[in-house]
Amino acid sequence: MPTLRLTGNYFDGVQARAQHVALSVDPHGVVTVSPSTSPSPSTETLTCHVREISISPRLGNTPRHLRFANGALFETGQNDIVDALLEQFPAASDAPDHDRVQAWVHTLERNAWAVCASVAGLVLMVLWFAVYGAPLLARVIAFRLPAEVTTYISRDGLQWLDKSFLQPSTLDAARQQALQDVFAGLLPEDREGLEYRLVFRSSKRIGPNAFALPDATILMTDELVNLAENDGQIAVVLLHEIGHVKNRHMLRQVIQQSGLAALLVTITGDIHGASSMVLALPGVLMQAQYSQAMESEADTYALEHLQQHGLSPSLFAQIMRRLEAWHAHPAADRQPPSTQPDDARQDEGEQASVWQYLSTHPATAERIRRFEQAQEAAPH
Amino acid sequence: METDRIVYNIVYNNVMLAMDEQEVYANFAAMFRIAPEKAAAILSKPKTVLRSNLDAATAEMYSKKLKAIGLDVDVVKAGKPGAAVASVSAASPVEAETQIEQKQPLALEPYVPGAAIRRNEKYALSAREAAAYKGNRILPFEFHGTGLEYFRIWIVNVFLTLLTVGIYSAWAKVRTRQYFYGNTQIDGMAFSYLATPMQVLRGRLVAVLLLGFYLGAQYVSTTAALGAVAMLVLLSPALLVLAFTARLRFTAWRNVQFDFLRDIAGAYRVVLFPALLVGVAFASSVLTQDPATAGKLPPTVAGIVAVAMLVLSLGFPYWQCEINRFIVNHAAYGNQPFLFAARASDYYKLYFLKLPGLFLLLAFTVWVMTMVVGNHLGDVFRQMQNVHQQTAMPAGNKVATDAYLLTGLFFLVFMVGYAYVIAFMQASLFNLRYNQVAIGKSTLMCDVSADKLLVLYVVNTVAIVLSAGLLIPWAKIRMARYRLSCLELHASYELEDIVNSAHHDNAVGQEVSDLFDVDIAL
Repeated sequence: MPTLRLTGNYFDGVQARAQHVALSVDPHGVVTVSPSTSPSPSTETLTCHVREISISPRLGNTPRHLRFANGALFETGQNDIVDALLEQFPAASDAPDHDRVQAWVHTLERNAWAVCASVAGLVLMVLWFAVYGAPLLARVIAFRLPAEVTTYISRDGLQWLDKSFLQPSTLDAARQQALQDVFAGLLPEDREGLEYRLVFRSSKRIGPNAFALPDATILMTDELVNLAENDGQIAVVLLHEIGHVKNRHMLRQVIQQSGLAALLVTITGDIHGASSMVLALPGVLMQAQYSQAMESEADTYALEHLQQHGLSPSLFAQIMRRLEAWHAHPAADRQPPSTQPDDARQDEGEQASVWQYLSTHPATAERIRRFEQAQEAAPH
Repeated sequence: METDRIVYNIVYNNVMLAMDEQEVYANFAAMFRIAPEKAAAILSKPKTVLRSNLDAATAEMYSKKLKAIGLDVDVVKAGKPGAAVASVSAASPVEAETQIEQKQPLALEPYVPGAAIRRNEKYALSAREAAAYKGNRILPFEFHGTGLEYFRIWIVNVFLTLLTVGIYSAWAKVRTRQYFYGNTQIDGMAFSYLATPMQVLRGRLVAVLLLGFYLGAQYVSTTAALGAVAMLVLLSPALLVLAFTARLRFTAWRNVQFDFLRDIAGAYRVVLFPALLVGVAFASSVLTQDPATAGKLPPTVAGIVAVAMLVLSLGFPYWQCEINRFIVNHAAYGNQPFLFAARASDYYKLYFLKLPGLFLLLAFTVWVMTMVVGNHLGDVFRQMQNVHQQTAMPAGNKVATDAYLLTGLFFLVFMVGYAYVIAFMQASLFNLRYNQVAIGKSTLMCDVSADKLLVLYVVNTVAIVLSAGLLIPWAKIRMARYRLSCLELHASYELEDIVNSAHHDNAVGQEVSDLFDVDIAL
C-alpha cells in the first residue's frame, strides 16, 4: 500500500489562521502533518495515528474535514484521496452513527439506479398517498375523534356560512316544523354522541342544496325545499345528508386536504410563492375525486335506509333530475329582483353548468341510474 | 541545532478590538495570578514586552493564550539567545512581576473566556473606518454547488423522508445544510454546519409542540386563543435569541465558530414593544372571529386596536431596523463582533418613499396599458356581449380569443409587477442588513439586485411548474449561487487572529426559527 498524500489547510481551532500543509498517511496509519511551504515558527510537524482522526463522510464535492483529537482541523478538496484513505482505514466502530448513515446515503446518491428508483418511488408514493393513503388516514382519524372535538372544530362553520353565503330562511314556522318532524323520524338509532339538527337558510347564490357539517348540523336551503315536489323527495335528501354525517365526510375532507398539504410541504421544502401554489393544484383536483367517492357512500346509506322509512328509491332519482335541470337552467327558477344585468347572469349560469359538468356531471347520471335500478329490483 | 536557534519576544500592543478592557484585565490577572490593579498597570502601557527569549513553540503558545483572553500581541524575532533587545531590556520588569505562573506551564488547550463576547461599541469600527484600512483583501463569496449533484442529494432525502414518515427529515436537513455550507467558500475555505441530526430532531419536536399548543388553543376557547397569542408575544424575544444563537453557533469557517451573545434582556428591550403591538392585532382578529364577541367590542377596545395599528405602521421601519441592529450587533465571528451599518432613515426611505414609488410606477404602467389597449378591450367585450345576446357563434370564437389574450396580458403584467415588488423588497432588506457590516477591521459588502432576483424568480417558478417540482433543487442552487455572488468580504489581516470561542449547544432555538420563519441568510 502506498503512502497517501493530501494537501490542504490546517486550522488549529484556536485562531482563524490557515496554514497550508501537507498531510501524509503511511501504510501503518501514521499521519504526518507538515508545512507545505517554507517553515514558519508557528508550525510544528504533527504526528498521530489515523485512528485518532475523525474523517467527515463524503457529501457531493464539498471539502472534507479531518478532525484531530485536540480540535484542530484539516480541510481538503481532494475527495478521491480521502476516499482511498477511508478504504484503507475504514472508520472506527466508534464513529458517530450519523456519519455512518451519511456514508450509506452517499452510496445511494452516487448510484444512478438508486437515484432513478428514488424518483420512481417518490412518484408512486405521492400517487398512492393521494389515491389511497390520505382517504385511509382520514377515515382512521375521523372515526376516532370524540364528538366533543368534532363540535369544537365546526363551531364556527355555520356562523361563517351565515356571514358569507346565507340569509335567514323565509319558510313559515309550520312548514319548518313539519320538515323537522320528518327529519326526527329519519334519524339513526345509534347517534354516536352526535347531536343531529336540521336548520333552514335561504341563499340565492347557492341555490337548491343541502350540506352536512361535521357536528351533525344539516343545512337545507329554502330553494331546495321549494324545488321538491313532495316531502318524500326532501326526506331522501335528508337521508343522504345523514349518510354524510354517519361517514364523517366533511371531517375526512379536511383531514385529507391537510395530509396532502403536509406531503407537498415535505417535498417542496421552503419553496415559497407562486410555484408552491401551482404544485398544490393536484390537491385541488383530487378534491373532486374524493367528493365523488363520498357522494357515492352517502347514496349507499340512503339506499340502505329508504325502505325502512317506507320511501321509494325513485324519489331520489326524481329530486336529482330536478336538481340537474335547475343547474342546467338556473335562471328559470330564480326569483327576481336581481341586481345583475340579464346577460351577465346568463353567463354566470353557463359557467356554473360547465363546472358542474366537469366535476360531477357524469357521476350524476350514474347516481340516478343506481337508484332507478334499486327501484326496479324493489318489490312493488 | 540548539546553538543557532532564533528566539522570540512577546510584545503587547493593545486590548483587542471590541473586547471589554476590564474583563481582559481580569482575565490577565487571573492567568498570571497577579492583582487586578497590577494587571491594569501593565496593560495600560502599549508596546510592552511581556515575555522574552522564548523558543518558537513557547512563543506561539503564549501568543495564542494571550490572544484568547483578548490581548493584541505580536511574536517578534529577537535574534540570538541572550542578545540585547534594542528597546527593552531582556529581563523586563513585567516578566519579573508575572513570574509566578512559570511554575505552572501553560497548556495548549484553547482558553474559553467566561462569557463568549461582550459588546463594546467603543471598540467596534464603523464600516467607513473599517474600509479605511488599506490593504484589506477583497474576497468574493463563492458557491460551488451544481444542480445535478444537489438533485441526487435532494431526491434521496425526500424519498427517505417520506419512507420514514418524516423522521429522516432531520438527517436530510443536516445533509442539505452541510451541502450548501460546504459549497460556500471564501478564499478557498469552506463554511461548515455543525449540528447533528439528533439535535435537529429534538429541536423539531419542541417546535412542533409549541406550534401544536398555539394552534390547538384556538379550538379550545377564545380565552385560550388569547392566552396563546399572549404567550407567543411574551416568548418571542427569547425565541429570537435562542434561534440566532443556535443558527450562528452551528456555523463555522476556518474551524472558528460564529457566535451570538445571549442577551435576552436586551432582546426584550428591543422586541417586546413591537411584538405587543402585533399581538394586539392578532388578539383583535381572534375576538372578531368569535361570534360571541364579534361586532360587540366596546369602543375603548376598538380604539386601542386602531391606535396600536397606527403606531405599528408608523414605527415599523424603525423597529425593523432596530431588530436587525440587535441581531447583527449580537452576532460574532469567533470573538469578533459584527457592527450593523444601516440607519432607521434607510428603512423609512424604503417603506415610505421607494415602495410607494414602485406602486405608483406599477399603477402608471397599468394606466398606460389601459390607454393603449383598453379601448380595444372595451370593443371586444361589447362585441362579446352582442355575440352572447344574439348567440351568433361563428364570430364569437375570434372575439373570445382576443378577450382571453388581453385578459391574460393584464394578468401577466400584474403577476410580474407583484413579483418585482417582492424581489425589490427582498433585495433591499437583504442589502440593508448585510451591506457594510463591519467585523473588526474587515467589512462585508452586499449588493443584491432586484432585477436579477426577479429574473431568477420567474425562471425558477416556470421551471418548477413545468417539471412538476423535479427542478426544485436546480432552482435552489441557482438562487444560492446568485445570492452569494453578491457578497464580498473585505478582509483585514486581523481576520487571521480572530479567536475561537467554542460552544456546544442544542438545536432547540434553531428549529423554532425555521418553523416560525425567522430568516438569516448567511
